[in-house]
Amino acid sequence: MIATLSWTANTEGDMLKYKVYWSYGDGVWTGAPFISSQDVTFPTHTVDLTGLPDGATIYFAVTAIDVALNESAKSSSVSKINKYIRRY
Amino acid sequence: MATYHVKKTGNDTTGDGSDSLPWLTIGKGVTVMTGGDTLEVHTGTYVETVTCSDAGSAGAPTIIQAHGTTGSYDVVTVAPTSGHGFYIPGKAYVTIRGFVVDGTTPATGRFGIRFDAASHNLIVEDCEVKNFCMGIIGAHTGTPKVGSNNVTIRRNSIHNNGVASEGQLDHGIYSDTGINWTIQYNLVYSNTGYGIHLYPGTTNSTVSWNICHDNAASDNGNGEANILVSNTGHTIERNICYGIGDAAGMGIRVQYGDADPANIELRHNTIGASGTYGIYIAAGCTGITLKNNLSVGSTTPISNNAGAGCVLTNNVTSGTPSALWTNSGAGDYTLKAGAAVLNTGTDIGQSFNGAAPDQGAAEAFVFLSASVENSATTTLVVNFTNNVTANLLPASSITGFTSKKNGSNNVITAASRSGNNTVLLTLTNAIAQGDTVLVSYSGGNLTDSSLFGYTINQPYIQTLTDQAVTNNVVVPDLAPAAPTGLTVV
Repeated sequence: MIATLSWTANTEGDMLKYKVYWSYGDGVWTGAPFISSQDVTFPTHTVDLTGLPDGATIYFAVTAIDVALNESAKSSSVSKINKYIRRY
Repeated sequence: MATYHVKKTGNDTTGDGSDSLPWLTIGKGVTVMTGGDTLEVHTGTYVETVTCSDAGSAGAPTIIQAHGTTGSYDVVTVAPTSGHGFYIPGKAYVTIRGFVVDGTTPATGRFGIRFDAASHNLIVEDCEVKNFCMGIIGAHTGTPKVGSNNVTIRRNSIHNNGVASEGQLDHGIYSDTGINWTIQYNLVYSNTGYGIHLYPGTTNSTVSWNICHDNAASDNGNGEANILVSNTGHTIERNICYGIGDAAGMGIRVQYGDADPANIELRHNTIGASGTYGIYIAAGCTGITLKNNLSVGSTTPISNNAGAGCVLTNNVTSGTPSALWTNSGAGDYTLKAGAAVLNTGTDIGQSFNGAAPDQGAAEAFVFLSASVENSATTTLVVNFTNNVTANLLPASSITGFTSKKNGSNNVITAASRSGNNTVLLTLTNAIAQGDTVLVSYSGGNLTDSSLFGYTINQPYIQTLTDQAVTNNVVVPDLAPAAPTGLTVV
């Protein structure tokens, strides 16, 4: 499964990066059923995620992180459902 | 514990003592009220002697007072044409508050406020007592003597009492016999005899923060004093005494008695010119201590005739009045900028400002720090060290401060007190992070609240010129805002 996420760029002057989270559970960003996260270097504010599990609903959220490593609250979440693809 | 009212529009026959149906005379009120009641007397002159015949109790005193509160009483004058102003014949827990007690012409045996023997737990406060034989007197009876104990006399003005021909016998405040008198914040002046006179039967009392001046108004060469103490166990501190009608007079005199005085501490008193002796310790005294007193201008500033019976610690007996005091000629004995007695006293275990106590009654407060308010960069915070008295004055409309930013005047639009000892200056132009402004103070109205004689405060006298203040407020590094507009495809 591939998911392409994009969001509005932050305007703070000390931005360092974003962190994208994905999870099987909406609002669950640590521990099960949380899956993983990935950094995106500022000022890029879009990312293609690959290798996501098929056949399930995946929830996504993103945070902003400044040079002092202060991390923002999570954005509102979005979700994507990828149907299982039969290969035979 | 009822409250009754007396007004000049009242009626002793048809009134019931309520605010709407008051009595006409104080005398009617005191005959109806019982122990623990309050009688409030409203504006006017009452030609009568008030005899309090109902004792209160601990926690529920009998109160006879002018209508109002400290600083805002009705003007109520008790002006008998004969007899005393107030008479408390052996009653306990009585408070008299807020009256002008005027005898019009002093006459022998007429007293402004008289306590008879065995009265106790009495308070007289916020009164003016004048033109009697004596202002406030605690009398005695019997052998051994029985007087009044636990008496508090504070914030009163007691003046022009005494029959001229009786000279040294008539005083402003007089206790013949008693224990634990507290005499504080009074202004006592121009009485014919002594200002404050604690006679040999009075012990374990405190006389502090009073201004006593120009007593012994009927000069008779008997060595009268503004304050006289005898017997034992007294603390005499932070009084200001100056002027005396008797050329042989004194500021503070420790003498007299059925036995020689003992165990009396005189500390932090200011004595201006007071005739022959500023402070006089009689022969035979024992256990007398003098600490951090400032006595300048009398023929002999301190006269110790008790030898080892009096221990002197770091008292000042020389100096130039105009260099020490703000305006001693006008009775202002607060400390002046540059006075040689600033921070030169001995630490005797009391609070002080700066490196060491000042000598004499006043303790000048000092600049501590200035900073920029975290939450408002147009607010300059100026802190003072003021450990002796409760707070700075005035609470608002403080004058004398100026500030500059980049060499230009940064107009102060408001200056007020915050807490006890901090002044907040509101500036026209903000002070950005890292910017420096200069703050100065000169010729303003900032004082402490020392209230010598309930009339004088110590002004701020320290030099404050172009004190640099930098906005060093560290702005917290806040986290970025949460991203928005997230979409997924």
